[in-house]
Amino acid sequence: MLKQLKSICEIALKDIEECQEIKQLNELRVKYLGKKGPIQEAMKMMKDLDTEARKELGLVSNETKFTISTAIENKQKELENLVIEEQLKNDFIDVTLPSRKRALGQAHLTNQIITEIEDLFIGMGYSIAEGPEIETDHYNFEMLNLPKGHPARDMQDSFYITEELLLRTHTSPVQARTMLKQGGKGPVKIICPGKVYRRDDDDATHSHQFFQIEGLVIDKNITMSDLKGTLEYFVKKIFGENREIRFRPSFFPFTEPSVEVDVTCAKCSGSGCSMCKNSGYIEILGAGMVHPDVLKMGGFDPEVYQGFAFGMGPERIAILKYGIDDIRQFYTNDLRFNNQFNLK
Amino acid sequence: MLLPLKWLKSYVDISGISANDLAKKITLSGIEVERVYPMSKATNCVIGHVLEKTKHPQADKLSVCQVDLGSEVTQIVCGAQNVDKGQKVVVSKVGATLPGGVKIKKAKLRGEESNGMICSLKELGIENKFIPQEFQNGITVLDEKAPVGVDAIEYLGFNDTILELSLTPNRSDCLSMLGIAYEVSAIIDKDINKPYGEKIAYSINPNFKVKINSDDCPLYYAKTIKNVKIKRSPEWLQSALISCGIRPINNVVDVTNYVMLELGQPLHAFDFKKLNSDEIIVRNAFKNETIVTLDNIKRELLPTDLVITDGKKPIAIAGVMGGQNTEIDENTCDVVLESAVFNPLTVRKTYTRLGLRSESSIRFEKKVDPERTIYALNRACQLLVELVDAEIDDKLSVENNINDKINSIEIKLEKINRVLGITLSDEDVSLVFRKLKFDYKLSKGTFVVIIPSRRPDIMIAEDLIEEIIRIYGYDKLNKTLPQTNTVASLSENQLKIRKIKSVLLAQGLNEVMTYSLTNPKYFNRFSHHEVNSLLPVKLSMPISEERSFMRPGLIHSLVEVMSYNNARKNNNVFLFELGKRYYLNQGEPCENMVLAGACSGVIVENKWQKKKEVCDFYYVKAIIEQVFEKMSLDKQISFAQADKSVGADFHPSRSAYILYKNKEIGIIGQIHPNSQREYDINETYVFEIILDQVLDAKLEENKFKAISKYPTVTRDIAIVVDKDITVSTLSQAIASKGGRNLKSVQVFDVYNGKNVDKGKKSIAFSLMFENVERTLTDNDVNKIYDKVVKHLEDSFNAILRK
Ligand SMILES: [Zn+2]
Repeated sequence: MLKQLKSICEIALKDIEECQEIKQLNELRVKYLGKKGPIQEAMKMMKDLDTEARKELGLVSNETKFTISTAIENKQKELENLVIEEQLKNDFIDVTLPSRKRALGQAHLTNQIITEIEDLFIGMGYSIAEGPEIETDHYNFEMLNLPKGHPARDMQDSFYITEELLLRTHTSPVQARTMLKQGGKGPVKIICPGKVYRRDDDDATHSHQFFQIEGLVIDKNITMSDLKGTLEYFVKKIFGENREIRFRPSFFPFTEPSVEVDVTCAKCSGSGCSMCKNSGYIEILGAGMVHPDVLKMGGFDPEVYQGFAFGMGPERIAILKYGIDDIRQFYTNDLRFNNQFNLK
Repeated sequence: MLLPLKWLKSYVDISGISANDLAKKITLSGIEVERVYPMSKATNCVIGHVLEKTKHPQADKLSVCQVDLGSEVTQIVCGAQNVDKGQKVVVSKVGATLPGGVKIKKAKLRGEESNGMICSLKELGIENKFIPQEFQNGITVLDEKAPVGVDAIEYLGFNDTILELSLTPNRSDCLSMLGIAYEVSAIIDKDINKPYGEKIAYSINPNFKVKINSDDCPLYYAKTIKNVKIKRSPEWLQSALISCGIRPINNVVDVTNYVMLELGQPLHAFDFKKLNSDEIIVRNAFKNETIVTLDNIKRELLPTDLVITDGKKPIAIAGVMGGQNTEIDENTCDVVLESAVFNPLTVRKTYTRLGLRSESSIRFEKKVDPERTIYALNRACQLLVELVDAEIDDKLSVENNINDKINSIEIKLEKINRVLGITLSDEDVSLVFRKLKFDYKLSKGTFVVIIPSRRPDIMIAEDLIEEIIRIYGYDKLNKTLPQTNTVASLSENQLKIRKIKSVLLAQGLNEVMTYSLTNPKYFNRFSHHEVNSLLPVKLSMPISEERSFMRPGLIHSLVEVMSYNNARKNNNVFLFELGKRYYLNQGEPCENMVLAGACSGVIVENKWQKKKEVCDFYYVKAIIEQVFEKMSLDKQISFAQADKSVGADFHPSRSAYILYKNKEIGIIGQIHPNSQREYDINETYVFEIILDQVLDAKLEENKFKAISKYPTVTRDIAIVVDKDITVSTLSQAIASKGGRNLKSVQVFDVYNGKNVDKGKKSIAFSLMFENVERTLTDNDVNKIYDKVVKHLEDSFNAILRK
């Protein structure tokens, strides 16, 4: 009997070993471990045996059952794995095929520049001040030391709506409004970005509408050296650490002294080339110390307070940064143009 | 302003400094030099004497000339009409180069040998508008005494370098050679040779009187000059004018222009014989008075204009233009010469109104130096004596109402250093004042500086600080940061704008920027309730119709951008703009922040997968919802089906008003097919939202809400209702009866067609219930469900589909 079991076990293990499919394996399970299987048959015979022999047969038949069922289980796992592997092989995809991507939108280049500059100055403790685009002559000119009939008004021919109302020609009226709000008490530390308008015919270098960012700092001890340090920091952040600035005297009615600020040419780094008309420098902004009359009109005592102001054009900065040849492209919005630029 | 270096050299020693270096120094000290260029690039040109002129045998328009060049007599064929025997002319010899690169070679012209070229001034590189009238269309003919064989460029004074200066409006002192000389002498620390002495003594002319009857003329000098012979000026005077961009006319006019360029004081010459009196009266014009000016145009005058009269009629508009009635002509022999000071604002107003900006008027407008008025008059007289042997009456006619107040400014060294942020010494500052030729006194750290009358731009201490630092050198400023400590962040509104933008960009919309000024014919485009009752803001003097109104909305601009891009084969265009709209409210201009968008085409596509999503109303609606979600204002936003009053540019049944707290703040919709055709665009969806209220909204603080531990229960309701009952109405009705356990209502099916009566639609909602404290029983949910169904049946005649 024991011998018989042993040979059954061997045959069973051989059958399992050779088995190729799960279905066949299930048949083998029934065949060897089922109620009519040889192990069950052997168990049935146990009652005719003496205690000792019964004990031995029980042990052996259990062992055999365990061996066979373990083999079946292992085989089953093996066969299942084969099936999954086959399936996974069939699941192959070419990961290099193009994705289904929805394009991200792009901020307008001018606004990218403005945002970058805003963040830079917020980091230095400047707030962002805003004001109306339709301004009064008073805020746009008179508060900035440009009384009616002042020849410097020619420098910025304006779009008037009525005799007293016009489209602001710079963002300086925001400075004037901010100063008045302060009620003569410093400090003031703001930048004013916004749209401005000039009575110019549009061409490659002129636009009747453009953006400006002006800055204003007023406190008891603000010096022109502070202006230079601030603008140098700005220029290095925006244009690159290797760029240098230069002050050149100029004239604005609202600042005294007034300067034009040049930055070393990107192309030749100061040695002179066609881009900078051989000067080595490119003009990027105007600045100066706030004129005492402007401080006074803004409610500040010029004996106590000093300040500096500066103004720049984000479009001009973009033009210099990217070598754009026509300012009108900023307003045409050909997406092939707009989508070329992606600052940080 | 053009600066010929030869002229500058007569006042200040610039030897050893190249023109380019000088230009750089001048630029860095305050006056931008835009260009440095040679007056003429011509080489190898000499003075020739035309000995013979014969007609060219083969060509009517050519002459064959025998010309003495000093070293030789040679034959030159000339095409100019005005060439003639006996003339002294400019000849560019064989081997010469002319401006523009023309090389002169030996040549045969129609069979006749030609060894050189007789030149016009234009061929020497002089702009046509500066060439004397008589030589505009031919060769230039030199003075008969011109020495044959001598270098013609040198003889003409064209061997000069010109600096083109761009003056800021405050530096009127540099509108003269002498003024620039002062500037240059300060920059390079040299002395100056003034062309006139210290004080002029004069006696009053009893026979010719000057009278001022206006506050607009503080000072008027006149001198009478007899026996003038009007003719061409000598070459040196002509070339001096040409080098400064002024065309020579005749000796008297040229002298007045020369003195104006030299000293900055404009002069005017009247023909004495044409005056009807022995006096000049300066007064304001009468109402309805007229004058015919030198350009032969009759000018209507206003009482704000200042005129020079002979006691009866106006003979000039002061500082602006002379009258034709007293014009100098070839027969003039007696002259009255004027040197005066006029009110800058009066001159400016008059010339602006009449469009008569001239070399004189800009100088009067920017203030002439009253100290030089009399010197200028004397200098002109002296030149006229030299040039035309004129007889000058030594006596002077004058009225002077100027009070000679000395302008002095006090400034402390401490103040200078406090503004500049550097530490200058007394000596540093003194040196600058000496360079500038400003008299000053220094005591105990305070400077008292006498400002010369040539510098009317210096009025306050800060002006002096600018003088100090620009001469001392801006490169010597320190680079420091303000010691003011402030903290800053974006304002709530600015933050909201950035949030809005971040959503739109993430959704694939591209930001554009368009013009605020537009054509009035677009004023009513895409009007909706929020816009169409507004009055436009109109410019009083636009450049063009195209840019004459402030836009009342943004959609039109965006649709134009759509059209532009569609026309360039970009069919998937998603745009937005954050900008302002403008209108009048009871006469007051208003501006609102507006968000607008235009979307068209494929949102996302993968061709090889054959998957794509195309823009439709609901896609754009989602974007708007997300914008408000980002601002935590989604609960306040709803959409209402647009009615018939929606603007004609919108699809009448695919548009909606956007409501914020049930108040209309904008619109979303498909563009009407007619407008779509008109703009030549693809199917496009647009939106526009007035953001002001949204930006001003105070955000409620977020509070934590407990998440339920108990399972949710879902029930579906399918009903048939009239087609025009909106989902939002039904959802609200369901929510109103759902109680606090109803967590959400979602549409999962909308159907009309087979098995649904015409005019009806079938809608299926999925209702989700949840309680934070316990598991909801079937019974709980059934109760609510029945209430909801009953309400739908009662209020909307809904039929429940089983
Ligand atoms: Zn360069």
